[in-house]
Amino acid sequence: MKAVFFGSWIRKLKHFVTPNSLFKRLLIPYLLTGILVGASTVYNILSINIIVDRLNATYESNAAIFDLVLTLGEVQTNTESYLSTKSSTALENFYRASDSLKEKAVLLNDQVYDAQPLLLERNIRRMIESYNAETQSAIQAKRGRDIAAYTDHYNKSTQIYEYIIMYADQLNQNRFESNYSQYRVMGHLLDQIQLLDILILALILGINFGIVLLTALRITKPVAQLAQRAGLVAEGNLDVAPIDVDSHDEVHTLAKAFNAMIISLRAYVSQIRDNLIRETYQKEHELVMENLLQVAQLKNLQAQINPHFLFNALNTGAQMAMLEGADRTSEFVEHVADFYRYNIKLFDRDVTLREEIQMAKDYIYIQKVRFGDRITYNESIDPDCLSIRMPGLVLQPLLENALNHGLKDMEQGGQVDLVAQWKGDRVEVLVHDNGQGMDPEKIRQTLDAKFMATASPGQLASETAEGQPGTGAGIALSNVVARLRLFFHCEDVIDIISGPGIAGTTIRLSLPVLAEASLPAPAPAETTGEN
Amino acid sequence: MDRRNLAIRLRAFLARHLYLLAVLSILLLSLLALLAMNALRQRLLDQTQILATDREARYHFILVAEQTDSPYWQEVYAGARAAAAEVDAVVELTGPKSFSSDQTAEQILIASAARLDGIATCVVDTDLTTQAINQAVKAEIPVVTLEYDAAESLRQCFVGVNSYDLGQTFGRLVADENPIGEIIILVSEDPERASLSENQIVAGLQDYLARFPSLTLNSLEINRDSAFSAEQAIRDLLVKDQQTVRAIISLNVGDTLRVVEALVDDGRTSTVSVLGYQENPDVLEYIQSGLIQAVIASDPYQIGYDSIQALAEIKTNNRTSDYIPSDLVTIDADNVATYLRGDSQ
Repeated sequence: MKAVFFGSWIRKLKHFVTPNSLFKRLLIPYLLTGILVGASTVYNILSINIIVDRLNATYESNAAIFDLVLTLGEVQTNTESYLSTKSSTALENFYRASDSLKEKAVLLNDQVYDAQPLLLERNIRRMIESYNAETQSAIQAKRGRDIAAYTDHYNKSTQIYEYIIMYADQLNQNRFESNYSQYRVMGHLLDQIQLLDILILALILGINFGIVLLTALRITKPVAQLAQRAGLVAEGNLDVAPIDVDSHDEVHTLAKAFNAMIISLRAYVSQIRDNLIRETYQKEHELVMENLLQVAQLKNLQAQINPHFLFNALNTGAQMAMLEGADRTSEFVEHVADFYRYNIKLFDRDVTLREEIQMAKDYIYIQKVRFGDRITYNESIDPDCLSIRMPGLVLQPLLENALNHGLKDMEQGGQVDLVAQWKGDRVEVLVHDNGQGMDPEKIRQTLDAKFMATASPGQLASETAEGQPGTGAGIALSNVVARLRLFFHCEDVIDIISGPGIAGTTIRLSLPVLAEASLPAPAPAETTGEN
Repeated sequence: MDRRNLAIRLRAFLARHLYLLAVLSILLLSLLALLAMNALRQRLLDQTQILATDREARYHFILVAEQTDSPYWQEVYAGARAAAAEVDAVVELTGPKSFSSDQTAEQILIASAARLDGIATCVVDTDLTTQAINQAVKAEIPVVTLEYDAAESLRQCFVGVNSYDLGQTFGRLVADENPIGEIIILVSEDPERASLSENQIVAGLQDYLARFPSLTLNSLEINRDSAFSAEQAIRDLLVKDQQTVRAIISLNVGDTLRVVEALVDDGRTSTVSVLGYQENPDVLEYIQSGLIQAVIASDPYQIGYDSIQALAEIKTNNRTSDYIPSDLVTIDADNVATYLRGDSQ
């Protein structure tokens, strides 16, 4: 039972002493030192006090002895006085002094102890008793006028008086000597105690200094580490090693929190990075989707001009015209048929510039038949550039635009030029008319790349189906712009040069040479070009 | 490898528990310090303590010495204290520091005025001491005389040597081996003031020497009024002597030493033997170096012891034997070594 209590007490003490907080770490050494130094000082003072008290007591008893001797002198004087004069005053004084002497004598030691001063005291006390008896007897004898008796008693009392004085002197001297030797011994021992005290103080202070130093180091070292690592983190470096603090105080908690913070920071940053990658991927995906949609739209647009029936019909018409001997009609209808055949052929793939130009020629032939000499067509084709690949149905809408819009209000002298030539690493195709030109707003709208992305195929279809030639042609031009840009993944593939002060309109295509692999139009990964 | 492991583990242990160790060491240190301080304090208290014991004794006796700080009387006092401890008494040593006859008597009077339980006293001046003793005994205070007796007084008991025996012993020492020549014994001019019963000693000596006709005994009387008269008398004797003196007997230590010094100065140490009564370190040294043939000594410790025992017996049984003889020992070159050792203790 007791052992259990003791054990729990020790555990409590250990728990208290274990420095699990900076507060305790700082407090305990100071508390301990303070208590110990205080205790030793108090102890020291108490020890000294005991000695001083003892010395005081001796001095006081010396004073008491001196007082006693004075009173004894009074008794002696008054006895003598009464014996010689028989005066009542003397007798009164004698009794008073005698009583006082008795009172004082009672304070002296009466016990037999083996110590010289105490034995001296006892002797004095007992001699005073004898003395009192003798003086009383002397006084009595004087009253009884027995001269011989009072003389005898007086002589005896005087003798005892002298002995008492002698002993009192001896006692005082004895006390003085013992006090002196005690004083010397005490001084010596007090010196030793003081030396010990100083030694203890120095030792305790030394150890305390050690503890404080240790504590300071233990506190500042992890804090400095923390600061250094926090600096690294502030610079953006999250790859810091965790801090290991083996103390169990606030710094430990701080270090733990710091370590945890680093870990969660890392997690957070990697989460952000993952999100970014995911977002980018999503964006790319969206782009591909958009592209696919555009391709679909393109196909849809191409499908809008469904020429199969017409082609077949025209072929039939050409055969009929030949059978009937209408050669020119036959040729014309043949051209028209070629034109539509080209359209069918183009449906799901890109074409060469040669094929485009061929189709453009067919178209111009048809239109020349239609418009007669109102228009002049010139072409300047560099044969080297004819094999470049490009989306189909590009040149025809451009020529159509030039004929319909450029030369719309011209009765005479309309001119359309087609130029194809190398310009640097690209092939430049120019479609020029000498018409009224396009106003800048129209050009801006036409070149707006967003057009195809925002306008739905249905919208396009309905617009073309409405048969509004102006709007339809505009849309066709925009369609060409969008298709070219999607196909080549670059913005500057087409440009429209027109405006006040410039004669007519020039649409310039600047076609890059594509690598074979990138040719299939719906290639979602090929998004590296300029956008 | 193991050693390094151990060192590492030790360092880890230190690092983990250094703080605890420091705190513990402070506690331990302060505990030790407090213990040391307590020891010092206890020493301080002991040193300044008036009482040796806090037990009160039954009797308060007083030992009146001829000379309180002489080694002889200190030895008597030691014996008295030993006896006092046995009979539950305290004995106080009193008397003059140096030789003084009337102070001895005065101490007896003081003791009776203080109504002590018993007085053991030496007898210096027989008349004065006898008066004082009688006064004390009348006041019902038992008195024991020691070493020298006041035979005429009312003292209850005497503890000391038998003077006649002492004389006989001297006779044996001077006569037995070489019974020829002149023997000188130094005695006091005024036998009444002598502390020893010199007459009895001389009687014992004479009775012994009567058997040897070729020996002559002469006494040299010394005036005790002056401290220097003894030396003068001894030197005079040696000057007047016709080379017949064969041995000189002295009855106190002072005379014994003076005789030796005079003989050394005269160059006659080989022809004259010295015999003395009682010893002191100088006397023992002279015995060892052969300058003194022998001394007869009483046992002061035993005398002190017996006197206090006698007082205690009077207190308890109201009576005791009138005379308690003290043993005599002869110290010569053969046994002086043991006394020298004993003395230095």
